[in-house]
Amino acid sequence: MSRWNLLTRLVIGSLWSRRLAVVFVVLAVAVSTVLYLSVERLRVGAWNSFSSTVSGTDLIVGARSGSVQLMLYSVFRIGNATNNITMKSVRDIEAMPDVAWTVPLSLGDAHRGYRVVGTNEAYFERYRYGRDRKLVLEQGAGFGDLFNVVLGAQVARELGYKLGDRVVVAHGLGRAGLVRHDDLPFTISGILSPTGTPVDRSLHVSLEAITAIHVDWSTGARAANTTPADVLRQRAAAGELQTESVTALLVGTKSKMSVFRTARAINDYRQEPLLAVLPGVALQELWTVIGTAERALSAVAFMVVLTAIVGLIATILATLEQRRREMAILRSLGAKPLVISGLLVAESLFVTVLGVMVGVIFVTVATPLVSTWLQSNYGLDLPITISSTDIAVLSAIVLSSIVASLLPAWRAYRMSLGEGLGATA
Amino acid sequence: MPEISRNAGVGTSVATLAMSDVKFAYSATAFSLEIDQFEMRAGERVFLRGPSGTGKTTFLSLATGLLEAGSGSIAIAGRQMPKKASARDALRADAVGIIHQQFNLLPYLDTLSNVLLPIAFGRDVGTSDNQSFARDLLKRLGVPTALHGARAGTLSVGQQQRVAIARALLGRPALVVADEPTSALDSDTRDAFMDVLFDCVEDAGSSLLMVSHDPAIGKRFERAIDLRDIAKVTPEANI
Repeated sequence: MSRWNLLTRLVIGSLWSRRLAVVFVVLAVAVSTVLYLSVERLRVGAWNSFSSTVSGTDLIVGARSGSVQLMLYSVFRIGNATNNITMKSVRDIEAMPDVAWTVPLSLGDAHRGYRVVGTNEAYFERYRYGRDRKLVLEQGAGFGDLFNVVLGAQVARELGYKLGDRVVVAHGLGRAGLVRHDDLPFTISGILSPTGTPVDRSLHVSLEAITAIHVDWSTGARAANTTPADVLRQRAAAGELQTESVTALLVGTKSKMSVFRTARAINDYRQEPLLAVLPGVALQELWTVIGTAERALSAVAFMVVLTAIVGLIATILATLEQRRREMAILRSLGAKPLVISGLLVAESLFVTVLGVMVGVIFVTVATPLVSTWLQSNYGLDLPITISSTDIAVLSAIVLSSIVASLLPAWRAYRMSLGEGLGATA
Repeated sequence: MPEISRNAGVGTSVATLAMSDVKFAYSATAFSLEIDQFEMRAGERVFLRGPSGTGKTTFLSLATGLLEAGSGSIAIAGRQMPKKASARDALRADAVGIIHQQFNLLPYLDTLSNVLLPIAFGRDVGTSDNQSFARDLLKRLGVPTALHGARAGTLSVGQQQRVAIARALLGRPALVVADEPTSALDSDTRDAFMDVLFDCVEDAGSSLLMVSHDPAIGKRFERAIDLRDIAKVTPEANI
């Protein structure tokens, strides 16, 4: 048998003889590894889903304000637009040579806390999220009638709506909508599949419907005699309910090369102060604001890993006194103090590597099991493979366990150096 | 047993153990030990007696290099005991086999690995097939093959003794040191143990230095000395 074979037997045999305690230390390392990897994956998943909240759209256009604000109200449906875009500007943008398509968004109304989005059928065709995923109608159809509404998945689930139910839209955005368009209820014609994006929290109606429910309104109050729904349907069919303005515009260009040119053209548009942003850039900007929490989470996970390593060292230190005799025997057989220290380092290395491996295996098995559920419920697109960052961190865990084990190793060195034959008795 | 003669120094005039002017003192207590002159011939069997607390174990620790002498010279089979702890350990690993009071096998290792353990710390057995070497040794000592793979903790006391002898004699070290190996045994098993030990030591050509406070064993040795005759001992102060 070779030296290394014997030394390995020695380390594993010694650990095995203390297996109950060792199992718990391995478990502690494994649990912290699982925690770290899970947080890391959720973090990456959160960024993945956030950064692809809107994909396939080359530019988002709104009234001139900040790009973050424009993203917030147009994509995340948080906050308000400072101003609208007139239809003339919309038509001018559509006429630009590089523009392939546009989708209008008209925001400003709500239903029980959820935003109502006025748009057209192109929205369902053009809106993309994640890795170029289209919106899918889980039930029903799009806008057949003027007063049809298509619900996001969360709206339908939370409020318990089903196809054919009637929905009244509130003027303004508060949950306790002060004034309601209760004379003109909408009928649910379709419900979208979950996307994990703000679309789930939106109600979609046609632009004409937005115009229609505001026909009898001026300066935020409803006129005494309102126009009946059927009259409005006839006027819509006759093309009389043309929208005068929209809140934002999703723009697709003919080629990726022309995105910047188009953005510049819109930003330089003279008739109206407009802002065109590239969603990817604006999302990145927004993430730097809200990404702090995610970094804190990472830090906490790393702390847990450190705690496990401290526990490992505490365990080794605690057993050192009991193993005095064992170490004295080894020394009497000719083991150098450095070899005894090495055995302790090898021990903690072995335990840590085992714990990390158990953790990695657990996460690798568990991630595919939960990723589908997380994708459909929270839109989290989890990575399922170990990234290079993961490998770096796992190596750091193993490395820090080696460094930490130098303390008990040094103590064992000091202990065994002054020990005579009497210590073996 | 394979015919390999190493470290034994049989037929040479080099002393297996030579100590002169050795001084040692524990800093913590007032205990000190001074040895003017002590020598063991190659193949010689020496019995060292003395009441407990007179420094027998300290003497062995110095002779095997586990403790460092303050001054003086110690040599094992002609090799000077180095100052550096790791070098002393290397010398012990190669030239000294130790049989402990409690036999001190590692209970979690199997019998064969226990015997082979000195190899892990640098003992040269002189053959690449050290496993069959150790198995032969164990068989000669009457440890059946069936027990070679058993954990040492499951062996009987008698079996453990034999395994401890095998471990000390692996690679035929020049010097075998036994520290009260019979203190836990009754007189019958003690005699049987001594028979086996003498056989093996003779076979390996090693010198044997055994410490005990039991004068009955002393008669079997070529030379029996009292520690107090070769060393000046200042006992621990009663604080």
